Amino acid sequence: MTFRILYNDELRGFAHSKIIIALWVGLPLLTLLIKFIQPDTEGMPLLFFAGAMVGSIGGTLSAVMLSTMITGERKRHVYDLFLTRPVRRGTLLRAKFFASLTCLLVAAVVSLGLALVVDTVNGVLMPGLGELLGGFLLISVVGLAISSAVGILFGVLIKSTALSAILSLYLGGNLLSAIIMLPTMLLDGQNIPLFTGLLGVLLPTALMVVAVRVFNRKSL
Amino acid sequence: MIKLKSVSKSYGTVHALHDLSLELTRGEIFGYIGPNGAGKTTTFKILTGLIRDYRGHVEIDGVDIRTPGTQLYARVGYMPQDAGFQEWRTVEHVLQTFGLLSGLDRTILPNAIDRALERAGITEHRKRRITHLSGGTVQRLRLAQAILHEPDILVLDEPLSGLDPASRFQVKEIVREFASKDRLVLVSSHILSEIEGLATKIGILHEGRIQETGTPAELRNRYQVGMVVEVSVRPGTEIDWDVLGGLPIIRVAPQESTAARLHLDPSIDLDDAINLIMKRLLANAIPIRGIQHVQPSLEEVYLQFTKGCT
Repeated sequence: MTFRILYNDELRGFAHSKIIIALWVGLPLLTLLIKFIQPDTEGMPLLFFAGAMVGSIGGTLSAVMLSTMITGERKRHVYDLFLTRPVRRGTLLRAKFFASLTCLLVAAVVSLGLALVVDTVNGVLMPGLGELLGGFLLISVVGLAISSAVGILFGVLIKSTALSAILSLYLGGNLLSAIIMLPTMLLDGQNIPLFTGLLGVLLPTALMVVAVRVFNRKSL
Repeated sequence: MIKLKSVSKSYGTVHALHDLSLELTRGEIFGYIGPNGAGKTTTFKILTGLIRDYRGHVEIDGVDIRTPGTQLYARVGYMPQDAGFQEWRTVEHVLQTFGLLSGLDRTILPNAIDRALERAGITEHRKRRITHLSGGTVQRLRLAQAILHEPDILVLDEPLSGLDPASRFQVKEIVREFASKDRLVLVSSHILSEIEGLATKIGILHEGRIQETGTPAELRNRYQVGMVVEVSVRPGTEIDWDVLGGLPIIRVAPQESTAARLHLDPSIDLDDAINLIMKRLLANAIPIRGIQHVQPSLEEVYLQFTKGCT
């Protein structure tokens, strides 16, 4: 019950966030812009570029947004009023995590969907398109989940908003790309989706467990 | 109702609270007084669960507040000194969220919000965003969220700071109303005069230690910080208070041009002192309008402990 209240609340908050609005509008726009700037993609579907963009831009922005948001809210003692009620600290963080992930997935789906429409119109379709789309969505979800968890961990760990933003930008963006590609680099084709999925569950869970433990020990 | 036993809390090498013990019961308005940094907010944060890593024991109605999964906090309303609100929220939305989190049913929530807004005097701001509110209105919103769920225990950290006189009066009325319903109200301030007429029990905190607790009358009686006599003379009289030189007076505090408070040497009998003062004034042909014994204020008791810290 508490989670549902907080989750809905955070969704409402993110819907007012300029970063999320920019992602909802910006990512699909960028997808179209790529097509406009580079009409000849040498047979490569736009879906491929859209997927890469969602993973990198969406992931980086979510990490930076969450870490600076939490650092700022801690500084302004925003959580005091939540935690003097029967609310667990972990629930507060989990609600933030899932709400941000929901908003980011909306941006990812809109962006990938738009790319699919453009590819269909242009006839740049290839066999196994459904599988490809599924793969991009999976990588997007995993990337966004890891970056959101990284953002939350930095948010509770770091006091300085600037430092929090810089670290999230670096780790949430650059290193994240490398982590997501690990299954592709280390495994054969059939196992990649499975291990990507596992990575997407285990790594964010581990990061969130650490974040909750750290937050539980902090005096507000 | 609330018991704190030997509670201590340190921030690194700084000791915020030393072996603090307190016992508070229903119906009381507990004035928690101390200079800035004395440990008032730390005590309140321990009581409301924001600080958990303290030594000692705190219980509400016999239940340890650190009991896992406790619902005790739903019975406490806390108005922090400096808590912020997420900027995208409106006043009404703040109260909706905190009402639901405090366990209020959705069917009674609208009425509870109306009542809290009205009591805090911010009904006209209900649709406004937090970013568009003045400091005083935010302060009153902090109060509204604290009283929203009609808690048994109301904890107010410096509730009067930043408020205009009318709002201060309103807050004091809310505090009295709460206490009259057999609830406990804790009010902190670093200015004793702010809550001198409000608190039914006072605790003076200094450097993390409780120096004294008692009713205002008990504290005044226990700590006669020197007797005070107020002397007034006929308006228009030019008076030089140096004429009282040599008498057992520690300090002369002029109130206006024709009146002064004389702080007497505690070793002298009050009536003897008044007799001497009258004789001296008459000998200097000063037309006395009045002379009376004044109860020392709690401010003086407070200053004795805090040595002028603010």
